[in-house]
Amino acid sequence: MNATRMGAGRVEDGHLSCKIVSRVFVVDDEPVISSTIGEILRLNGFKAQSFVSPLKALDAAQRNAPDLLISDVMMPELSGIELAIRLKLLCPGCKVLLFSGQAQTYDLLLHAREQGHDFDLLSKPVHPNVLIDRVNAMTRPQT
Amino acid sequence: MDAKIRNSFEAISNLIYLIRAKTPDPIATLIYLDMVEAQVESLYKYLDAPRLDS
Repeated sequence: MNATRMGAGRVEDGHLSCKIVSRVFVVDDEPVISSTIGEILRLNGFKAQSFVSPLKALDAAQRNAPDLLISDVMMPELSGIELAIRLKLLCPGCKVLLFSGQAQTYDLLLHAREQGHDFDLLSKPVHPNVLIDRVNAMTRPQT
Repeated sequence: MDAKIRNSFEAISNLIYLIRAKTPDPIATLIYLDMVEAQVESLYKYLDAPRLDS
């Protein structure tokens, strides 16, 4: 069997991986962004759920905590930074990857850092291959 | 590059990735192509529109 490079929980080098599939929440108020990132992650072996509402993502996290949150920063209901802080209170083990294309994000991130919250940030536009590499690195089990 | 253009750029990149991944599925490919067309159409309109703050 040919070697296949895929995300967590998929076939690797012809052997079925026993790794647990990572649950990823994708939050972006632009439906086409949240849905396409969710689909790309599922194609790469992740259990991804897409949300256009950060409040609905928080609600879902109470029932089933994600391993990783990928979120836009500037959203009308709640900023991605505020969402990440609230989600970390609910599920402290959840990792966070934020992405944004707006300059105001840097002020918000700086403010959060001063309060002790430090999050990874990718600048939009994020190429799908870059996103997958980053998500694979963040969800790889620590050895 | 402003936020709208960054978002459209990212959406189109994601859709191209999905079109390549879903090539064996012609219906999915057509749906994603329609979505690319809608993004491009929206960018044309956006770039032609006069800025509200000018």
